[in-house]
Amino acid sequence: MNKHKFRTAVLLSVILCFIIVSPVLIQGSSAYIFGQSPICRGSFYAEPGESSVPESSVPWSSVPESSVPESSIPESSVPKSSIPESSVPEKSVPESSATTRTGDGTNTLPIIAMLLFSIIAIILLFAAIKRSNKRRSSND
Amino acid sequence: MNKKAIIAGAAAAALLTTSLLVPSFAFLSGQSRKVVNRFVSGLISVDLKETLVDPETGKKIDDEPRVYENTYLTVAGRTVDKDPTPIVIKNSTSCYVYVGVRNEYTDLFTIENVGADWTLVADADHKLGEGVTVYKYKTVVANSDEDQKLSAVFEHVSISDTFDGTFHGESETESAIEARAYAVQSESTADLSDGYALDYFSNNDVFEN
Repeated sequence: MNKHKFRTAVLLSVILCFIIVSPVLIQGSSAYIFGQSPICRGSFYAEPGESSVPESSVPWSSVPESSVPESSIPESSVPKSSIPESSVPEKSVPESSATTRTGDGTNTLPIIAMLLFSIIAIILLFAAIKRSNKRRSSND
Repeated sequence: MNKKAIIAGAAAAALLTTSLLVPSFAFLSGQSRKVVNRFVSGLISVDLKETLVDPETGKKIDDEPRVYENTYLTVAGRTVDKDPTPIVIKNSTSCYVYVGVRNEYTDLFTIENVGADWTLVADADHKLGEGVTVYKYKTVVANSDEDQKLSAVFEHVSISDTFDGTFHGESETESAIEARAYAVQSESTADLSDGYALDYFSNNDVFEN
C-alpha cells in the first residue's frame, strides 16, 4: 500500500467513524428535562457522656423542678460557641448558596467533540486533495 | 481538452442554467405571512428545605424560616423534628418529584412518619448506596405560575436508645442524614421516571455536593 492510499484509508476511516459516532453523540446529548435541589442536611453530633443515657430512662417527675432554682444557672454558663453555626436562620446564608440548581439535561461536550471531529475531517480532506493534485501535476 | 477548459465550461453551464431558471420563477406569485413556531426549552427548578430546629432539643422553633441544614444533639431514645419539604419553583415544566434520603446509620436513626403523599421507590435493577432510600410524590406536579410547596417527605427521626455517645464506637462524633429532591418532566416519562430517579440516586456523589 503506498502512502497516498494509506492516507486516503485513514481519511475514510475518520469520516466513517464520525458518521457512526455522531448519531450516538447527538442522541446522548438530548435528555429529558430535570431539576435537582440543593442538599438538605441534618447533622447529628454527640457530646460524650451526655447522650449515652436514654432520655426516657430519667423520668421528668424524678427531678423536682424546685430542686434546681432557675437563678442558680447563670446565663453566661452556656458558652456561645456551643451553638452550632448551622442553627442560624436562612437569611444569614449568602444568596448565591441558596439558589436552585437546574439541569436541562443537555450535555455540550458531545457537540463540541462532534464539531472538532468535523473540522479535523475537513482539514484532512483538503490536505488529501491538495497532495493528490500536487502528485498528479508532478506526474504530468 | 485541458482542465482549465473543463472548469470554464462547467462554470459557463452553471451560469447559463441559473440565468434560464431564475426568470421562470418570476411568474405571478403570492406568499402568506410566515408562521413562526418558537420552541422554548423547558425548565424544572426544585428546592428542598426543612423547618429550623433548636439544636439542643431537636424540636422545631417555628414554621418559618426554613433552612437547608439543621444540627441536632444526639440523645439516645429521643425523637427529633426533621421535615424535608420540596418546593417546585414557579414556571417549572410539569414533573414527577422524587426525594432521595441517605441515612448513614440506619440502626441508630429511624425515619418516622413518612407522609401519605410519598411512596418508597425501588427496583432490583438499581443498586442504591448504603442507607439510601428514594421516595416519590403521589402525583404529577403541574406547571404553575406560583411556587408549589409539597407535603413533607417525613416528619421525625428517632434515635436508638442503644446510642452510646459515638457512632459505631468510632472516634467520629458526627453523623448526618442528607436529602435531595429530583424532578423529571412528566410528559413522555410515565413509565421511565422511576428508572431515571433511581439512576440519579444510585450515584453516591449526589449526596456529596
